[in-house]
Amino acid sequence: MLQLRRNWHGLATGAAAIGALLVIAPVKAQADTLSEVLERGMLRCAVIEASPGFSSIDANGRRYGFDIDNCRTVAAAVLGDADAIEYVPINPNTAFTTLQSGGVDVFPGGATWTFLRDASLGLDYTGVYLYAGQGFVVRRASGVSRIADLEGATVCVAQGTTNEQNLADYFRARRMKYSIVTFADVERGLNAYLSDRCDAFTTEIFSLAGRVVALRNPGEHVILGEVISREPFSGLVRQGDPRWRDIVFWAFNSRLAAEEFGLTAANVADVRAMTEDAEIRRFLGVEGGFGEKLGLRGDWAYQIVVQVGNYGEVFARHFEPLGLQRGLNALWSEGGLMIAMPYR
Amino acid sequence: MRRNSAFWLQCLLGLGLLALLLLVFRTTQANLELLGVQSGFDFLSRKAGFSIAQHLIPYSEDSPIRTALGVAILNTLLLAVFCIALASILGLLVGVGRLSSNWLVSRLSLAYLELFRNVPVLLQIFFWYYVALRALPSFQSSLFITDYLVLNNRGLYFPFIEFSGGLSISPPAMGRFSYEGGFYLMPEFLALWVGLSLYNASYISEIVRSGFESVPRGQLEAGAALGLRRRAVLRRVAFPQALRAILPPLATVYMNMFKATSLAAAIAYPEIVSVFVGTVNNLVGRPVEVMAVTLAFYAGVSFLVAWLMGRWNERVMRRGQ
Amino acid sequence: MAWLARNLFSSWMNSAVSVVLIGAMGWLAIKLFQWLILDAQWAGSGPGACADAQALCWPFVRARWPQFLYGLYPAEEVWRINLGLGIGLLLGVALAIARMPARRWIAALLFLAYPLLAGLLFRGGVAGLAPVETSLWGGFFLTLVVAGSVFWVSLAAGVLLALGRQSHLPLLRQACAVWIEFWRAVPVLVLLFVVIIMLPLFLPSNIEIDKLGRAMIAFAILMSTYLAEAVRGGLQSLPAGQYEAARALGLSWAQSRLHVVLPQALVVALPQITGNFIGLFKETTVLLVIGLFDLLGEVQRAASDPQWLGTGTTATGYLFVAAFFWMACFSLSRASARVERRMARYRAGMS
Repeated sequence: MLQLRRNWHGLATGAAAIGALLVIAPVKAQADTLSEVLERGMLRCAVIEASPGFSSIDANGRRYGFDIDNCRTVAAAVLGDADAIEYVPINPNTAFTTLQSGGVDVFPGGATWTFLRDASLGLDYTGVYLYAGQGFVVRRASGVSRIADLEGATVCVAQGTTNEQNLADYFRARRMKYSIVTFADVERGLNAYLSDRCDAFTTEIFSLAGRVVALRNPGEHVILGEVISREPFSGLVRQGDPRWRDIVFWAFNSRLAAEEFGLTAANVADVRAMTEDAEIRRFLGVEGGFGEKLGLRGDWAYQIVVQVGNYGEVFARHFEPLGLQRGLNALWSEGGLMIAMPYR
Repeated sequence: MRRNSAFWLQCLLGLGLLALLLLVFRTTQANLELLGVQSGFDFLSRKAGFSIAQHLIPYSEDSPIRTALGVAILNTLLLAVFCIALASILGLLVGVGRLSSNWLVSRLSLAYLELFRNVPVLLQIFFWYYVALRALPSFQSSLFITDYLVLNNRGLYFPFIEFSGGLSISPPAMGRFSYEGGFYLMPEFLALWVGLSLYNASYISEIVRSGFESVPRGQLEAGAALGLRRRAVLRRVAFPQALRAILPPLATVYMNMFKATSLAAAIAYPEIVSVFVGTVNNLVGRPVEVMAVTLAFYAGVSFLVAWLMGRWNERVMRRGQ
Repeated sequence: MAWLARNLFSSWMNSAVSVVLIGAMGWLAIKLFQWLILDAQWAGSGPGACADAQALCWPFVRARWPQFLYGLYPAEEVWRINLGLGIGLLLGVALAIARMPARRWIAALLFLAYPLLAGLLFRGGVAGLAPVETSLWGGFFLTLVVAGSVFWVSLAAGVLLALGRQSHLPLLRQACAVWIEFWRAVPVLVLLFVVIIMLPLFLPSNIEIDKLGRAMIAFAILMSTYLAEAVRGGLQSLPAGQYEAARALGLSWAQSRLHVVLPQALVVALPQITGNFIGLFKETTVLLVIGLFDLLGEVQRAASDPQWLGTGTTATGYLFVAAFFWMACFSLSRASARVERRMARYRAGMS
């Protein structure tokens, strides 16, 4: 039966408990992710599932993709074993809270570096590892060839992403009418577009290209040539552990450095044995004890290059089959934006 | 002696509960502090910056998150009210159908009950959304139910009163990508509406049936003996008595239906869980506050409905005497 | 003939309704037959087998069968699931046979030792078994694991809550009532989000519970409040004489609850408990929203593979899941109704 009084108490106490939760009294504590990972012997890496190019699962249940190699890079640096990883699948629309609330050491998967996220989410960015932009896919039959043609259209988008906000900003700035349907993740949004729920689907251009190539009839769709935003992707770690942030940053940086040095998975062992170049010797742990300064083993960068490869190799492995060019992601010496911080 | 020990036991219990709560507060504070997460409800007046597909009150990307919350709450309530109405009608029909003297009608009603009750409601919603509604024609070849009621895979369009410079009725008209003008119900809304209503109608039909069966046969016979027609017996004698047995469990089903509107987060209808836990939480990164708002909404409505149903129940009980 | 006249054509109105219904059913049957059998695509394998994206596509279910059953659980370790579930099934069947010797021991084994052993078997990491992360668990297996373990935990918690709500200590009574009423107002999906996101904030940083564990906790919180209400109904139905008799026999509080009150209350509450279990079973589908792949989640995941994409494929997957749930829930509710009838007869015979 309905009992009013009991409900009252439930409500009041619940509200009081929630209210009390919000009273903040500072308690100091220190996180030490590195020791946790070393103790565990496994890196907990968050991944977004089923995103061609970034994160896929092959027929044998093995994960592969650009994000997966990012996880492997960190694992190789910290544990010396690129496969000592426990993957934690997350949804984009709860990604940040999952990271904040712990259980994950690093999230290398396609999070755009923005001011608000950096300033207010309790997360630290670990350096840009991919420059992307937000693009649109439309049906070839619709005759849309520019974003401006989308006046009045319905657009599908993944929820809680920068894409959702970019879309709103872009159309509003141009006083274009549109309606939006937001889905929990990219996959559902794209499927909705494919079944004609929307006239266009928008997400960042790398994952868009990967998904369109994988379609049954890729020829029926066109990716518009324009992008409406800059999407610099960075890894994410929890805030409050500067040393761990440094480790992840330098692990990513090592792949770029390796490419600049001309080191590949195939030649790095030989180079290490023979090279006279002081920076490469410091980089590969032959001298200088750089690894120890981060709390890692001396051969941390060497393990990255041997087990994962340099940045160019990783890019080629996952994005070239999708027909994507290096573009902004080429090394600075080749006209791109990628630049490795020096090892000295 | 016994009373004394009970007193101390309670003191111990109270202290234990208090200590537990305190411990949880302290760890939460420590964890939040460590993460550097900001706290407070000031984000509610921040500019939202995202758009919402269906809003019953004026809303744009420039509106504060407060308004987005209002939009989401109204969307939730709209869905709940639609579901309660449809499920009640269907449930009443099927429930009365179970009692029909026509064998076919009662069997079909039973088949309906067993079919819809034993399949997860989320699966039913998915079926309507991903299979049935997706199979509808695109807008160029829409189905016209009448000239002004248009159904296609973008939703159900109908004319709506417009307030711009005097009242006028604006019928849906074909645009480049879809129908414009008038009002429309999104496919997400339609799928949830149909799915939740069909599922819960099966429960309501059971309640209706057992409600009517709870009326003693003698009452009906007495009514007939007084010379009342069969319909009058049902309306004047059976229905008021059945209602007393029906109301309390019906309130529970209504509450369940209201709670189940949160399944909208699984498809893309912008109700409170979808907008708040999905979009806003990612935008402002304050899980504790966002969750508190959501919980408070559900607890508040539950309390309100329980109170209203309690009042109604009391009235019916009193009238019955 | 007489039957027909009485049940279908007893009056003019009735006859009209019957004729219309028979017509509608005939039409529906033909359409369904066409959709389910004639138009459906049965043969072949791989995405190429289903040329028509609108028609049902059974090769899809065949191709994804292992994934529907076990999720991403490594193929070479699947024997562990089969073994674990097989033992559970065996124990359950043994328990259901009324004349089984040592039933009490079997029950103890099933309810106390088995869940822990099965958990170790599935997770691995002991006795030379390779560890399998819970993020790889999925499909039918995950549905069973979640429903089973949540029910197991929440029945115990529900009994405690129900007893707490009946306690003579006002504070304990109030605390239990508040706990129960508050959570009953919250949708399962919201509670899932709350626990998944907030639980780690509540716990000290050295305690970590993975996502599956957190989801189970959320379900258990909700389920235990429902079961507590069911058990409370059972407790309230007992005549006061039972309590007094137990006290007169000199039984302690715990003894009287364990030997006299609870066995009777649980039997009375059985139909409602079964109803709650069926509800839980259906509700596990909500897991897919938070990124855990139960049976429906696996079907959804497989159906959004761009190679298979199409309304026909999706519909086939849903039909498969619906048939599974329908059979499970229907037979459970039938079995429960039978037990209820038998109990009613038994009680009628007693009085």
